Amino acid sequence: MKTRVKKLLYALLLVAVCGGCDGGFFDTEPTDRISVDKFWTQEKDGILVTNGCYPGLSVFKMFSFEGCSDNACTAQVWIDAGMIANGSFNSSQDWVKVTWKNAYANIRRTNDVITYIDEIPDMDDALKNRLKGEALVIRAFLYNLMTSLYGDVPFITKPITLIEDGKQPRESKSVIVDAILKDLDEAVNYLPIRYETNEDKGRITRGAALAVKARICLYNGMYKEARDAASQIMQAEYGYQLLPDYASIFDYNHEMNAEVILDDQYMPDLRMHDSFRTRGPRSAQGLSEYVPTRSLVDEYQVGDTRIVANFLLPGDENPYVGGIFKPGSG
Amino acid sequence: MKKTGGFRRDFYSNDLQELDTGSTEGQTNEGKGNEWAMRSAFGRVNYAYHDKYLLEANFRYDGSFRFAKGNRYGFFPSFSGAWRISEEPFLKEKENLGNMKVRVSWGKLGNQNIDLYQYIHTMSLGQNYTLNGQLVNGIAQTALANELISWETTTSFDVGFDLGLWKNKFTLTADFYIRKTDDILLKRDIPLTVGLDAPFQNVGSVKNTGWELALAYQDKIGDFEYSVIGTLSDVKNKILKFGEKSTWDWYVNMEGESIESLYGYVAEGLFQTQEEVDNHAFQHTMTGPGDVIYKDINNDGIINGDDKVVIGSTIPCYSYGITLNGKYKGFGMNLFFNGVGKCNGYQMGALIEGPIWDGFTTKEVLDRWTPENTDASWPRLVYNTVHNQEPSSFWIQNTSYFRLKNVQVGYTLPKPALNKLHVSNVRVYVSGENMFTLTKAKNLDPEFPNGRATYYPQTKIFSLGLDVTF
Repeated sequence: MKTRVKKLLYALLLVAVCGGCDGGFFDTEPTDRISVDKFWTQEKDGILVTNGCYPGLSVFKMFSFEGCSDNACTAQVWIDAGMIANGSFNSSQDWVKVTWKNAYANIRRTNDVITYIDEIPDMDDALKNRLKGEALVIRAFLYNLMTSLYGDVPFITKPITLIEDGKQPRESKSVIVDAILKDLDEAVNYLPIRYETNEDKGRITRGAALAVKARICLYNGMYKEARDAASQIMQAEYGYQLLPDYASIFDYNHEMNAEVILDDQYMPDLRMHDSFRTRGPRSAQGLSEYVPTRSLVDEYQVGDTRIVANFLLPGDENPYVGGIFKPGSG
Repeated sequence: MKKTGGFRRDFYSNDLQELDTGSTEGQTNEGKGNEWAMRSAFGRVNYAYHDKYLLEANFRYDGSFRFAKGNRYGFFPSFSGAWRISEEPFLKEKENLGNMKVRVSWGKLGNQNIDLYQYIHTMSLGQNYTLNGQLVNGIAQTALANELISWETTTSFDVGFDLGLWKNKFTLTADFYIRKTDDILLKRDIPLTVGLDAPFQNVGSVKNTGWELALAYQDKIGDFEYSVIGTLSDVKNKILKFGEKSTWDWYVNMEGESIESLYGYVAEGLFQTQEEVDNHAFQHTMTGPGDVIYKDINNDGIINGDDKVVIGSTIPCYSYGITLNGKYKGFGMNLFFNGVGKCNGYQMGALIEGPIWDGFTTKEVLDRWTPENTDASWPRLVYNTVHNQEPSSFWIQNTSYFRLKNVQVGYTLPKPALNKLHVSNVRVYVSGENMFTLTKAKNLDPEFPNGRATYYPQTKIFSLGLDVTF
């Protein structure tokens, strides 16, 4: 009995030792994602990662935030706009968390471009700088949003790989604003006034960088700098001008018209927004989450043609489903 | 594992089945693939001496592809032993002793069942944008990787005792166990400023300590046979290591408490006057008389997330079951009771909001606070705000219960009668399910004690049956 047990134990030990060898059997690379150490090696990589930064523009929920202001309001007081507008929210409110999270996720993408694009071998310097310029503008745009909403925020300018490095203190708003204005001045030198190829139309231009700069200066009381930046865009070589018919600015067949300096682009099926669904009247299948206030309408002078283009007022003809528009019933 | 798929629509008819015969408009395709592997060795040694001393040892040595080189292998042994005391010479002769056995076991097992490639830093495709009406491809890193991840291990210890007396008329089985899971693979929250999804980390540790008891007695008095079986068990669960607490809805996971403890404000009754509201810590812009008072735990003058504490647990304590069986001549009767001695549950949605959002409510709303009904059990109804329905102890209930789950009474015709009818068996029976329940829980079935009234409650079922075999 003793020898039998001994033999058994030896056999077990043998198997255990054999199982200890590691090897090629295990070293398969994933086929559905790109390993970071194989990345940043060709021109294509730089372009693709910069493309990935553009969805960051939609972190700015342009119309939804208006729902918290005195220009628009919501009757649905339990939604984010309602809670924020009546002051009954705290840091765990959905928008507060999600805006913070998405802004930093997209800032990270711009930081990736800005930090690593110079490492790509065999790539035209002008292209590298142009892509860096696009990322700098998106980053400045996002930090302007963050400082406007939250005040002092952590100023991350390099991609973080260690979790502990994520615990950054808040940087003062004025320091961030100075830094991003400098970034925009740098970007202005890299960006073209317009893109020649059709595939690139819609990318960030020099005018866009100056427009973002003008906005940041305006928000921060730097009126002279704002005026200077805006005046530059108004020069003839930039090609921007007002369209004769205000309503046509928002037509499908006037996309990227002469008034548009920077737009957040969408298309049917492949990249969609829910702008109409949230603000449209209920008679047209919208949710009517935010409605304009009387004070906003009264900002326009009587007879201004923009009123008809912007607002559906009681008694107007309903352009979506016909009939007369009656607020409260559609 | 690989998956490739294609989609087309607008086929001429159902007779044409090939993709090419569909319309190219709106056609899509997809493909997925990944690989994973494990390499393991395991063995067992078994030893029994005169059916008295029993010993078993197992070991496993597993390697998983889901971890990086150097972290792939785990060793998981286990041992168990038993001593059949009733086989010992000094007890073997005892007639009344049917069986007496002591059992002990200890062992480890591993878990590696997380998503693949979590240790490799990767860039994800599909971060797309559109430019001038054309889709443009984009790439970005979206998640942080962790090269250090490795096996999650559960260590269990159990000690048990089996007893059988009077030719096993009476049997008892008792177990006490401690189960500790370490290095639990969790995606613990990381600072959002990192800008990436959190990675898996081996950071959690949970302990379950519990015991189980089963007793059975069966006997016969003349023609009457009967048996009684009872089971009782309890478990205490505790999170030992977790990091920063994680809260969502009514729940929290935090160190020192059980998993998914209920988390909310401590309610201290209802405000009766505006003065009381003004003198209390600030709760909400719409707080007024008739609203729930939330305790200011940290005394900072504001009621917010910092005033939330653990207010209960949905893990049932002291679960039990009792089965009674009786048989006399052709009659048979069977009763099954079950219950839980201690448990909490909560209600939410229309059950606590009144008829404001969901269009229905419960009759408790009739005792809501109004200036004429100040001694109310329910807060006042306020339109368009939910500040009285935040997670708080006001809506936590005691969901312990005792239920007659199943009862059956039947009668089998005796042989002489069967022969007369020329059938081999006839039985009639009456049975009932969920016949009665004793519980303090309101509105929700205590076996499903949480949340909204979004499921059909268990029903009382009464049946009458006839079994005839020819």
